[in-house]
Amino acid sequence: MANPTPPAIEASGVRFEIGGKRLVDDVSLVIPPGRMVGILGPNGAGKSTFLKLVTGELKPAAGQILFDGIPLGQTHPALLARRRAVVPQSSQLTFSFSALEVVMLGASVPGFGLPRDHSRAAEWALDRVGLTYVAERKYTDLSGGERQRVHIARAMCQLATAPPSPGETPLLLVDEPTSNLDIGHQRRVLEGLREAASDGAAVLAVLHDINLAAGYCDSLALMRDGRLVAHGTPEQIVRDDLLSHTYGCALDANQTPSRTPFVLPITRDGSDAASSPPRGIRQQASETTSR
Amino acid sequence: MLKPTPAEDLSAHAGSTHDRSRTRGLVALGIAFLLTAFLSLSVGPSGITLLSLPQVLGEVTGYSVGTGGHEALVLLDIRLPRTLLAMYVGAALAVSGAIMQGMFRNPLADPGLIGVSSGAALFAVGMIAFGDAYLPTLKALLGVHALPIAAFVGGLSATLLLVSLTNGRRAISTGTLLLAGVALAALASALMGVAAYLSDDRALRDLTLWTLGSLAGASWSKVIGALPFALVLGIFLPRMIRDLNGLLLGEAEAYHLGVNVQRAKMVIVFVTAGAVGAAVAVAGIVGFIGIVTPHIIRLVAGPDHRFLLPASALLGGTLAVGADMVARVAVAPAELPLGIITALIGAPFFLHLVLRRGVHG
Repeated sequence: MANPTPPAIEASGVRFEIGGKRLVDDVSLVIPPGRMVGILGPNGAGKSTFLKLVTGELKPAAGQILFDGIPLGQTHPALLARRRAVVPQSSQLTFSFSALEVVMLGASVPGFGLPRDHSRAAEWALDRVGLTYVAERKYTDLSGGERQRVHIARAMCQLATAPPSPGETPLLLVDEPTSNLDIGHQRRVLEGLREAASDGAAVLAVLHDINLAAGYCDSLALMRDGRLVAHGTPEQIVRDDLLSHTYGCALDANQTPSRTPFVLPITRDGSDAASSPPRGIRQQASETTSR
Repeated sequence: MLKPTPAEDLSAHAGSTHDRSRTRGLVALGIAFLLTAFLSLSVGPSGITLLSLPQVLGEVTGYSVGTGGHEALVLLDIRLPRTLLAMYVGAALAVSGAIMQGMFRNPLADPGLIGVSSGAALFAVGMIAFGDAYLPTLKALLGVHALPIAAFVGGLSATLLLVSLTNGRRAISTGTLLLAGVALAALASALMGVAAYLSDDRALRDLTLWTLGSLAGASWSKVIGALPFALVLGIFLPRMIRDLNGLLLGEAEAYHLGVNVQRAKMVIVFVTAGAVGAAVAVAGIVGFIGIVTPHIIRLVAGPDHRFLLPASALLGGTLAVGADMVARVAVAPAELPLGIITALIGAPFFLHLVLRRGVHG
């Protein structure tokens, strides 16, 4: 081995097609341990499909995906589940588990001997997503946002109860975790993912909100038509030309006073959607140093 | 976030109140199961009760001189195998129902309602009607297992057909599942009619035995015939628990949690087809135990398969033994088909479930 510490996730030349249509086309992406990478792109860009290739749900037609240097296909699902948790976009549940029981399912990864009571880990995970108050409520009675957070807690519970072996980076793969959430909960969820990365996990999240992604991710991967358009720091990705081209609409990129990049759509009359403030902020940003 | 701070002890611990009450529930169900079985041994038109047991045991061991072996015959050769078969049929159908409901993610899946029992009965009837003529070597080779194995193949065919209707992303709709069951049951009963018409075998003269279910023909050879399937069910049950819990979230989620989904589904399909097939081979089509039992357990203790499967086995066995007792004594000295009793209780219950679910179907 030339490289003693391989990246946590390494996708190289990954391709996936259905009926001759390339949903993911020659995507290569490297995620080191401790990093949080956001996948951005318009609807139908292949973001979720790419994530499913990384989870192992779908098998790539070409290329390969390595976890800590080991091909994904060579790992047994049970061993994989000890270090890789996935939060799906949506999940339906026919039977009336309580929220706590759904979270506890995360701890029921095979290969841990006898089934045991993981309610403490589940309570801890529910607390982390601010849902202690729904623990005993039926999952089917929860709101969309609460369900989404329950699944995030389930993924946390999975990684917390399954200690990965040395040399295995915990992986957290998340598909649009904030789509049903208000801005407060969006922030809390992303802060949680951020913390997971700080603790050494590699986090890959499909996100829709460019500004939120720019605020929390170490790097952003921009996809369009199944291809990786660009991958870089938020400052490198959140640019007028790049985003306008990728999303096919006029976008105006800016920076907050604290130099976090953000983007606003430009409306038909040529002004920003939110009229004047962005320009003002841009000027301010160029004049003042960050707070 | 991934690792709790040292102060937060998340280690798995035994003996939460939740688990303790579940353990107590299992013990209570186990006691009911055994009590019903003892009751079943001591009830019957001959008037012999368990009070004869010490004497019978004495005779069997050659310790005491008996009264011509009448009691021993009734207790050991008629009631004991019958009770054992009722226990097995009830437990197998209830557990298979719970397992199928988990796999199809649909609480209305029941081996009887979705056509699995019909498929099993059709193949068992086919083996009786045509086995001697067309498969004499195979039938002789399989011996007492010929019927259960034929029923297993029939149940497997029906289950595989239903699995091919499912789609990994979504739970199968109740409509599709039940309509497929109606079609399978209609086809199977038509073909069974043809088989009965073509064959003059005594065993087929009374087709109602197969369509309504009965344990009247219980014997030790049937117990031995069903035994391998009962053992397979028992051996695979523990490993199916985790798979099923994961599958309740969806197939993709189950895979994320470490379940080898394709293999888990294959195990489920084969094991339940075998369990249902053997139950049908010994008792015909006994309906509704597979839907009533898991539903009651879920109402009380939730859908966690760690509790659901063993509890369903115990309650299903208790219900079947109880129903068979009623079947034997209600119109003595004649006897009601077992399936009539289970349908009398189960059908209104099922109707209630369907009506309550209403548009959610």
